[in-house]
Amino acid sequence: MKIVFTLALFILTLYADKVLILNSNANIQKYKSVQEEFIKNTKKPYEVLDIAELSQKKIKEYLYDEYPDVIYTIGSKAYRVANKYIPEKTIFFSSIINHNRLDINEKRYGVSNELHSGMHLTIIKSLFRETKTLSLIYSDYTKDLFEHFKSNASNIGIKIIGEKITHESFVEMQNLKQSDGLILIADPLLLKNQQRIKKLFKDMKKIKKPIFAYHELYVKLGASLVVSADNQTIGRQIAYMMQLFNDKREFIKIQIPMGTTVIFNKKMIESLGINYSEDALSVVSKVIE
Amino acid sequence: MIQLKHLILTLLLLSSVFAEQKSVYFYTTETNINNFKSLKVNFDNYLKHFGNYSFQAFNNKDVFEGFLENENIVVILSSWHYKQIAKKYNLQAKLVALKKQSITDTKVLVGKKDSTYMGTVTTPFSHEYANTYIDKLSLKTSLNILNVPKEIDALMSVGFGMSQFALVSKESFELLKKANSFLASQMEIFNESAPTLRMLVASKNKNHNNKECVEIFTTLDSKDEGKKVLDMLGVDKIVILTKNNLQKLGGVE
Repeated sequence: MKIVFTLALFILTLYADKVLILNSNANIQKYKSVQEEFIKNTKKPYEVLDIAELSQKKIKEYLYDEYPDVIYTIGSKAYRVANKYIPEKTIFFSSIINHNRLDINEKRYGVSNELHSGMHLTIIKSLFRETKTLSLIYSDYTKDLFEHFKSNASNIGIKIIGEKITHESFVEMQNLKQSDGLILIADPLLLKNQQRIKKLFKDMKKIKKPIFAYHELYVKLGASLVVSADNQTIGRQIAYMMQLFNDKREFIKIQIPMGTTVIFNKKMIESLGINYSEDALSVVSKVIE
Repeated sequence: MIQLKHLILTLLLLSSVFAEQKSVYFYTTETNINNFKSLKVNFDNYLKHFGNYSFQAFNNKDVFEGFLENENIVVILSSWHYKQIAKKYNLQAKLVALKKQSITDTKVLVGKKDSTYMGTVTTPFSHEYANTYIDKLSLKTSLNILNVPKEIDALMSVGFGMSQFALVSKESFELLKKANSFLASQMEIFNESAPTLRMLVASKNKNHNNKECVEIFTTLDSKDEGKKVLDMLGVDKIVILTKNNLQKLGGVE
């Protein structure tokens, strides 16, 4: 009887210690990459559930049956279901665009999808030291981010010229000519119209001004530089935070990504005739020749 | 006449098929290169000029060392790693990386002013390599290592409050001072290593292609493909190691 009891207790301890990785869609490269790196770096036993093809009912049943103590949710769909069905549990999250819009209580820990605006600016300034002014297109949706860029830029001697757009109006190219380049942010109004985005890239090329973007998709359109969060580092960061959590050590509950992926479009930069600092190429992850 | 031509072509073909395959192996504890694909493509393009060479990069120390028993190899590795394994694998360092006119660099532990030795150290260096520096501080138990892709990431993590320390080269801290003096002014160097040799190129002691090996690496900066490789490795040039430098390295004579 004693042996059975000890064995049951042992199994229960093992089970309770297990992390459930809830992936919104493991076929999406970005999600796959963070998951793989998390698994490589975690010391805890884990189980993976890809919920892309599962119904809400199936996910609910699974969560109630398994009832894991700690869940790592990748992508917003995974976070929402875990938060809905087992809100009392500890949830780690990553790869969620603008996590601030989600219901986040005190038992939530994660890494944001977006880099600190100061990181974008530091990388830009490392490579383009002569930068004095930068334009930034924003709307009411991204006003806070614009202000964040503005205050961080002033710390390093860059002036941000804001170009506010509304549903009715778009940016005046004449205004963009005044700056040394354009920082492209994920503004929903700006991104709504793909034709307008394409035209923006074309017009900026005409006036020989670079665009500094946040996603590698924009390289095809002619972005001169792309600075984005490194997904592998996010996976490592979550594994590391979970370890500190288990050890009951202090850590920042919601962190910014600590790694960057920097794509330097040398071909475009040279065609625009822009000077760059060769001694700063160590900040670059990939060069487009 | 046509028969002779065929014979020569066949011989040429056979000689290329049976030509000795030579490999350049790359593993360094000092960088965390995520993009091995571009490095391999560019290195292979460059090596084509010198015959039957192929380039292979490793991101795991043990796997890399598993390949070092092979004879026809040239390896690129950190001087710290070389010191550990040169005797075991019969390696002889021939060349060293040069950057800003210097074949050595200094590692620094940078943190926010008035920090105590506790918390997270961000670094692109391997855990084993980073620990050798942290061990010297005798405070290892209070510091945990988190790997980031690049040195600038390690420094920005400290600057933006995500980690307490960054273990990087002194050059990267200098770069941060130029790019974001505001951030750098809030940080200071807590510890500085003695200068160590940069990345080395070594071959097997018995290697008969040493002259060719020297030519391949010292002329990297004379061809476009080679320049791309140097950019990716983050160095300006590869130069010959002097006898004096070799003695400092220890390991194999």
